[in-house]
Amino acid sequence: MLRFTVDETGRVKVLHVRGEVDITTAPQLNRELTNAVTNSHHVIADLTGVSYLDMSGIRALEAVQQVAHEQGRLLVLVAPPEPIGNVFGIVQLRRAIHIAKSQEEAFKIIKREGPPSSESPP
Amino acid sequence: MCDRSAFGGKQVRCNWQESGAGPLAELSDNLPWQISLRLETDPQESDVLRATRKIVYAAAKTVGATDAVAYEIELAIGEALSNAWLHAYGGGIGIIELDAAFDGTFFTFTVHDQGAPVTPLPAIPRELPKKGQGRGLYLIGQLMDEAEVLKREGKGVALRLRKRVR
Repeated sequence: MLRFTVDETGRVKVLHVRGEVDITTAPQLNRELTNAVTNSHHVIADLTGVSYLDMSGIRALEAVQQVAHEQGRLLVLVAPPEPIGNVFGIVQLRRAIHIAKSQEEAFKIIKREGPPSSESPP
Repeated sequence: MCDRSAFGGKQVRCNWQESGAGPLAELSDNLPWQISLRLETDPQESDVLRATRKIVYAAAKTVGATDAVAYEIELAIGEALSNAWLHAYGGGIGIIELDAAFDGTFFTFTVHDQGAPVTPLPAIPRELPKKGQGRGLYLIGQLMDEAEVLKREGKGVALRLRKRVR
């Protein structure tokens, strides 16, 4: 099972994810992140504590990105360390989802890219 | 204690006690070996798949693979096992067999299921496919030095994967 801890910083929710994202746990990642983008303004998924991530994890992240996009929210990932994060490059995930190297950079992306709608509650 | 010269008909250096290296690392300098696993998937969760890919990670580390290479092998095998589970058995119960052979330099893996024959046989994509089918196979191809889908008589699909570990 994956473990999640949540930080709320202003209008941004940060989910720290720990564990292995595979075919068993990817639905849990999808559920938790979908809840977060539905209930918050913008979401940073901090994956630095993820020790395995396969295609089912990629598909889950893409599904959450789709929901975020539909709701006018931003989803920014903080990449897992190498070699776990290398899969993002192999499947060119950056074309679909914002990926940061650190939480600090993720906040900068949100500040730069955040849609104006984020300034008022839904 | 170090007289293993007749083991497998090959000369085996046995200075691990002096060098401080483990006996497995020393033996695997010379001796090819292989493991065969036969696993039954579970319809509820895939702990058995997770356990199997961890065995493969441990095998790669045992022969001196770096953490990164061992992880790439684990991910490729994990992906192959997930594919077999989903596509051969629809995420249900079925048998998957994994053979892992080490020749001193390369690991060669075969992952085969007993599902319905697949026609036409999928190929390992050389370019990243669009969303949908094929990206798992593409990832496997990128992680390994060689990857191919084997033609099999009778049932199932077999993937043959190869990677240099040292």
